[in-house]
Formats: sequence, C-alpha cells, structure tokens
Amino acid sequence: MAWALDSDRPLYAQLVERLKLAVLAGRFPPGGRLPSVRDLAAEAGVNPNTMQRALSALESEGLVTTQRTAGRTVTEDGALIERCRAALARERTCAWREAMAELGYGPEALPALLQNEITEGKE
Amino acid sequence: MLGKLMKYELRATARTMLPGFAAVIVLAGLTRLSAELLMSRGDFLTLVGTIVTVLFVLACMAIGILALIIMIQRFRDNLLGDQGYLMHTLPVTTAANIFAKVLTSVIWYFGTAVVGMLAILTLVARQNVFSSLFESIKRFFDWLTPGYAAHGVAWVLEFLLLVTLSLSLFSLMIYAAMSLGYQANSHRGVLSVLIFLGFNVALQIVGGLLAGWVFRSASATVTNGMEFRIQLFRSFSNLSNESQIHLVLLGASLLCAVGCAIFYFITADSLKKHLNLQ
Amino acid sequence: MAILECRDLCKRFGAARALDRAELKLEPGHIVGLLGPNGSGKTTLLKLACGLLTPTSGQILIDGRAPSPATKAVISYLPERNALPLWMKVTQLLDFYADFYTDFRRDRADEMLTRLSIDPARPLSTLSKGNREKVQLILTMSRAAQLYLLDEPIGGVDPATRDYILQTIIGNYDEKATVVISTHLITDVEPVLDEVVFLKNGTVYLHEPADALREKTGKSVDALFREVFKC
Repeated sequence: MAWALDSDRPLYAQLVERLKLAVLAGRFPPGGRLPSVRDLAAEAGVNPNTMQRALSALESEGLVTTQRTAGRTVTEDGALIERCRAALARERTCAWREAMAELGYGPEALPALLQNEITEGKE
Repeated sequence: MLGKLMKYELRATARTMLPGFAAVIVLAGLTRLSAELLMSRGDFLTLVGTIVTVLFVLACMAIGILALIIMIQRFRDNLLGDQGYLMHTLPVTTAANIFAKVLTSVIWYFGTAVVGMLAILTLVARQNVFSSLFESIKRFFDWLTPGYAAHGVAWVLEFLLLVTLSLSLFSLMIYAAMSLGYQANSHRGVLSVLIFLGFNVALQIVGGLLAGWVFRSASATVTNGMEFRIQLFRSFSNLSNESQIHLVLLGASLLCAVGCAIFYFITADSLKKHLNLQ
Repeated sequence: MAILECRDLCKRFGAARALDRAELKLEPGHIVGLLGPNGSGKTTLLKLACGLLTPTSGQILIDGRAPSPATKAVISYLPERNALPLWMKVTQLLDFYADFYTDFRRDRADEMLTRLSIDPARPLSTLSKGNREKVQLILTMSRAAQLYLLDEPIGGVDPATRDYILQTIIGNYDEKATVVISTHLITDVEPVLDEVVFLKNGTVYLHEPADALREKTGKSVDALFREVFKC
C-alpha cells in the first residue's frame, strides 16, 4: 500500500504528519485543491473516516479549508505554512538529538557531528 | 420474483433437457428411416437399423429418468449446496425458491410426455398424420357430446389438474426428503433416500387406511357407528355417473393437494430453520 | 438506527455453542473488522444476519428488522466459498444480479471486470480459481447495499489482488453503509478498519474504534489479537 503506516500507533496521527509533509514538500501547493477524502484514503490504504479525521485536524490548524462546492484547498497563508515547517523541523531535530544521545553523543558533540554531515553532503 | 426464479430455473435445466429431447426426436426419425430403408436390405444394415431402434427405445426411457435426475440434482446443488449461499440470500421468499423448482419439474415432466408422443408420431406418421389426428380428436369429442361435452372438457381439465398435483406431490416428497437428509453432516444422500422411502411407506399406510375406510362402508355387514359412512356412500351412489367421476377426480386432486401441503411445509421449514450449508 | 444489532444472540449446533449471548450494535458508515480465531462464531454471525441460519434464542436485527427478503435486499454477502453456478457466463451472472437486486450497479461491475482483465463472455468454469473469486467479489461490491458482509475476502488471493480488493472496499465507502470484514489476515486489513470487533468463544470480547485501541494499548490490532487469543 502506498503510505507505509505503522499499525502500532494511531493511524490518524500518522496521517496528519504525512499530510502536513505533503503540503510542505509542495505536493499540495498553497491554494491548490486536495483530492477527495475517498481518493486520499484509497491512495493511503486507510479508512475514509480516519482520513477525514486527519483532514479535520489540518483544518482546525488552518492549513486546509473546506469550501462547500470546491472541496478542500490548501491555505495560501505563507506565514502559517512557514510556522508549520519550523515546528516540524524542530520536532525532527529534537528526535535527532535524542537519537544521538542514545548513541552516547552528548550535546557538546552535536555541532561537530552536524558539521561533518554538512561537509560530506557537499561532496 | 417467482417468475424471475423460474426463468433462471428453466434456463439452467434446459441446458440438459433440450438436447435430450432433441436426441429422442432425432433418434425417432432415424429409427423411422432405418425401418423404412435399412431393415429390408442386407445383414449389416439390418444390424445398424436394430441398433438405432434400440438406441431410440433407450433414449425414450432416458429422458424420463433424465428429468428425474435433473430435478434432484438441481435441488441439491442449487439449494442445498454451495449455490445455496447465493439462492437463499436473494431477496425472495423460501416459498418462491421451492415453487420455482416444483413448477419447473412439472413443466419438464409434461415436456417429456409431449416429446414422447411426438417421437411416437414420428415413428408411425403417415402422409395424412395431422388430418387423421384431427379426425381422432374430433371423434373423441363427438362421442362425448351427447350430454357429455361440457363434462368431457371438465374431466380433461380435472385430469390434468390431478396429473399436475400428483407430479408436484412426487417432487415435493423428494424435496422434503432431501431437505431433511441434508440437515445431517454426513451420509446426506443415503439419509435422503431412506427418508424418501419412509415417506412412501407412510403414504402407503395412509392410503391403505383410507381405502379400508371407504370399502368397509360399502360392505354388506353393518355395525354400530357406521351410519355416517353408509350415508356418505349411499349419497355418492345416488349421484349421476358424471358427478361421480368429477368427484373422484377432484377428490383425488384434493388428497394430492393435502399431500403437497404437508411436504411443502416440511421442505420450507427445513430450508428456513435448519439449513446446513457447509 | 443501528444497521446490525445482536441482542442476547445465541446459536447452538447440538451441544456446541457457536454464539453465546452475543451483543453487538453496528452503526452505518463504518468499515468493521470481525476478528476471532476459527470457531469463534464469525461465520455463524454473518450467516444469521443473512437469514441462512435462525437464532436458537435472542435476536438479530438488520436496520431494526428481523431477517426477511426485505433485509436480504439491503445486504450484500460474500461467502467464503464460491456460490456462483460454474456453467454461467460472467455476463449472465451480471444479468442475474441486475434482475434480483435493484441496487446493482452494472457499470461499476463492467469497469472492475475490465480493470482486472476478466473476459465477461467466458463461463465461470473456464476461469482460474483466483478469477472466480474476483468475479464473486466484484458482484458483491457492485451493489449499493446498506450492509456488506465479507467472509474472508482476501484469503485466497495474491498480494496485488489483495491491495486491489482493499482499495475497492475503500473506494466503495458510503457513509450510509457499513462493511463488515471477517478475516484472519489482520495486518493487511487493519489500516482499512475504523472499528474492530473481537469475537471470543461466541461472545463479543470487544468492540472499539481501531485508533482508540492503538492509543490505549500502544499495539497494532494484530499484536493485540495475538495477545488476547494466545493459545
């Protein structure tokens, strides 16, 4: 199935993440139309009710709006999208930091690790 | 819904019955041909002619048996086997399902009789077969006419009714036996046969008791409590001959109808409450 | 009104209790997993809903009514076995369904048959076992029923077909209808379910939304199942 989801955790939460990512990654550009709930659910391989819940969550955060006739569209509020991106980035950075800590790298070692990664990435 | 079920029922059974009918007619034709062309020639051709005749006779017996086998197989496969998952979940009543099978069987039995008659016609038909047939039928009704015409037609209809009900009774007896037999988990076929035989025995007993009741009323020796029966028998004898025949035909039809009702209820109850699809 | 309701439902076969005072209420608009080991009463429950069996005691109600031709008209049942006559051609089967079910959508069936490259002019007997199952599934899902009862719909098919079947179920979703999937293959089916029913020894052990279960137990439904039904 398309969106490999982890059945150990509530799917709804994972769907919210994936949808946000899709918006941030540009798959659903600002102002663009979202596919119908059923289509999204079919693509993700999940229950339409679960997808609906996830979309409602995005709606309550303001990332997505529902227009009665036109379905759902992504917000054009650039600032909101930026805030979203920043929040996700912080989450992932936090997760990285915890992962490194598990390996035994304390906060002091982190800048060096990151610098290495950046220089290697350039080559 | 019954109409729709019958449509599919006839279609499903026609696949086997129609070729069987065709085979009988064709063989009848061939037998006729061989009788007229081959039999008088040499030894080998006579042998061929004999074989064809034998085949024809076999075919005639076969379609009767075929109708019976098809009826049994159809009920078993369509209502008691895996197809039951399809048929019993259709938005139709159990009654409709049962009647569709019974009516279709009766139709094929009548069909077998018609084909048999056609086969015989094919065998013996002369140039003027249809006119001579017409003649015979006309003469039959002429014979009936002196006061008998209306009765004659009524008798024919009553007879047809009796035949239809008897065939229905026969079918329902088989269906009831199968419905009961297939409630078990194993040896279902054997059980069905045993139950059918049991039904036959029961019918014989009931028939014997009824006959005994009737004939004792007719005997010379009178005993107490027989007054009612004697009255009944006397009033019957006092009726005209025509009415007596009507009464017998209709009475027999009534008995068949009662039998049909009994076996119908056994079948319906089994299918509704004790269906054992595996 | 609950689309399927079991009230103190019991079904005994001789001494064996297939269903023992089962209580269940399913509302429209859900895809429900009916999960349990062999012999837990899953198939019995589905058969009772279809009117193929009658309860020993208690009630089973479809949209508030006892099983009858009227309730059969709104239930689309997919049995585990092949129920279709093998001599019939696929087109004849489509005609058959269209004849008896007013909610049969022929265009959907034709579309699905084309998608799966099944030639409708062929008799069922000439199709492979897998294709026969697909035809039966297509016929079942092409009806706009109120209650779909699917008994092991993905059991005997290859993974690609499994995906197609689950996608069809999702795509078919209607908020006025409920789909009940009875299966062993929980991992594959989990993401599609929004409610889960565990049937243990003929009673309803639990009936909860899938995500709520995941949140509560921190496990997948599959993992929870293994725990609950440990041998």
